[in-house]
Amino acid sequence: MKSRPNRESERVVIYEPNHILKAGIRVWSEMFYELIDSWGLVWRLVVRDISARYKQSILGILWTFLNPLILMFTFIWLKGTNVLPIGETAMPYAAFVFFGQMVWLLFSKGVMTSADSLVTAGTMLTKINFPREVLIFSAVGQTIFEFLIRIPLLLIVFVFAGFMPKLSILLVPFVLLPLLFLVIGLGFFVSLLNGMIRDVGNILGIIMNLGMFATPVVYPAPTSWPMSFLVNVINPVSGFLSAARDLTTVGYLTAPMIYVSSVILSLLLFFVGWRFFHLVEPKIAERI
Amino acid sequence: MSDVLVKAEGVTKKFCKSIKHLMFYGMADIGRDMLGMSSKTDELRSNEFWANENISFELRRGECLGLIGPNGTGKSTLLKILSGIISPDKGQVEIRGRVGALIQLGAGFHPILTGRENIYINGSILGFSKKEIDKKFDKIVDFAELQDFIDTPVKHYSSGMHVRLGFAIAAQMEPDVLLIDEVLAVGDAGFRAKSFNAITEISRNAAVIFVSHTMPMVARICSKVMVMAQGQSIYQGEDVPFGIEEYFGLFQQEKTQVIGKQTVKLLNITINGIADPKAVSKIYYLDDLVIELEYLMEEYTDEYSVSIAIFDKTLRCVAQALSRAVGKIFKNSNKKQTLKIIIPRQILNVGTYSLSIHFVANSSGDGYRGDKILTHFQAIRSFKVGGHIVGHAPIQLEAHWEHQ
Repeated sequence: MKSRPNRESERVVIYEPNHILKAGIRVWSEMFYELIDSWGLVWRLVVRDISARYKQSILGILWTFLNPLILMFTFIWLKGTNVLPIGETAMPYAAFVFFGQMVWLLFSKGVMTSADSLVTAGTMLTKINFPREVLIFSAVGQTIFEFLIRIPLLLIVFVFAGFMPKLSILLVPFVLLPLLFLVIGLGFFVSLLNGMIRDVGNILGIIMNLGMFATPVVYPAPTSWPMSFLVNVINPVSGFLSAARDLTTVGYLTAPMIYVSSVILSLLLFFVGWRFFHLVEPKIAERI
Repeated sequence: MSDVLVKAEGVTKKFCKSIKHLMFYGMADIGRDMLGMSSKTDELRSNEFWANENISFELRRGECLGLIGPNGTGKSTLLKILSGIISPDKGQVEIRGRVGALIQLGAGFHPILTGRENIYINGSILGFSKKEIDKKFDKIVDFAELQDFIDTPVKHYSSGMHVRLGFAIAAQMEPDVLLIDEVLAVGDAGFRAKSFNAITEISRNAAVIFVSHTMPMVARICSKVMVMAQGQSIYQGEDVPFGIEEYFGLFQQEKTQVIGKQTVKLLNITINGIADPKAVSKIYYLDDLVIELEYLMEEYTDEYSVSIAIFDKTLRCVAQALSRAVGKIFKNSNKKQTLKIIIPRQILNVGTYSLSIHFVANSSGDGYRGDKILTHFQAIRSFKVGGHIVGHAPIQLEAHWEHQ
């Protein structure tokens, strides 16, 4: 129902109260076409945000490496001095932590950037009519970009740690694809909530800090009850992380059921989130 | 070419005054939405008010609607509803074709990026593909006159440059419906003239809605006008000058001010025989305008001259008459004096005007130099020129037309 200027000039748009609710099931095709239509805009915004971010910094893209590297060295040290008794890991610990970090940051940064996306859009939101979903997608796009440029560094870490991944590591991007749906789905919810109540963003930061330790990022997935249930089953990110690590080290999924249920949950969250966002977002524009 | 492009029927919108209520109502509305119940949008809860109430109009291709009214009467809200940024609480809006909205120029500009990058970003926000922008890029830069600064970050632009770039992008959109909020006021005279030409050109082939506080501009480019006050439309129609009069009627009259040495005491003033300061004298085009003054003057000066100035509602001085210009200098008798000023066959256009009177001490020097203002009565009275308006210039010259 957006009036985004369209190629066909004789298009008629009607705005009335609750017009999205009245659209019923038809709303899905509308949402879908709107998204396809605005794909170019998503790309533009991703490029915009990335180039704006690095334009005024000397280290530029290096900042993306700094965070996971520092964390990696911290935990190597903690493990080496036995402050943290972490058992054997399937790949050398340095590679293990860095790999875990990459997946975790894809999730946590993705959710947190989308949470702020509506608020930072500012006047764009209150003065221009465009599909607001674009903001969430472009926020996640930025996170994907960061993930991609960390890959060469991961390979360097592999070399230094003397680790030879299985060829099936090439499948990792496909395994992680559903994780993006989880990120966007959550992004839909948190961006709206943050638009209305700013506490949400702050709370989210805390949750993400704690969440890293509730995910097998710096330690191997626990195998004993009840920790295994809490970490591996309840936390959907674990399923993706473990699956990605499995493909890198052993070459097959050791817990396919957990992975599949994570995928189902992610897709469900994505579609529910999308629908929710589409419904509620017009009310946010006037309240942000 | 006369198809209806914009149709608003009973458009109503409410807003909330307090942020706490706003959050609470927002959540309640969202909760309802989630359960699939339509929100109750047609009644006010506490702390809410109608920002737009029952607004209806139709606009065809080739028409330009001027939306005027005091600040905070819901003009921008209406534009936002028409552009789909917020949805109405009651009523319906139907829009045909491609919409271009200039509600805030440069919304979406990223300060760190260059003008060139921002043209592409803004263009795609407005719904253009890269190819289309490529094609229009040079035109946009030309129009904005930013050739030398197109690769400079936008944050170093002046506010005028900002506006120019924003308008240039939008002007190249070729929309069917163009919504313009008061955004052009920042540009310099040259750019304003240029943008008004562009709007006029666009409006030939589109329906334009134009929010402005610059009445001469509204008079010049609008074919219809809607006057809004407190969220409601109090006049709409094709009589643009009448609408503008209504608009000015919404404001308090300019206060009478007495400036300068208080050496003159005005005892009585009549305009065409009416002396009561509360009654407004009414005259017509080509009537004689007769002003009679009765005053006391202290012995400050021996000779003085008098001038009158006529202001329109925008406080623009539209006409003056100076006694000195026709060599009239008066002797101060230090007693009660009277002066009758006759302006034969007055040529002011229809409207309400206010009158100012200056008493000026005469110097023996050449010309006007050295003349001292004794007392200046600003907006001392107002009068009305009645009748049917023709044209929009404040002065309608009486010409001789010789046709063969």
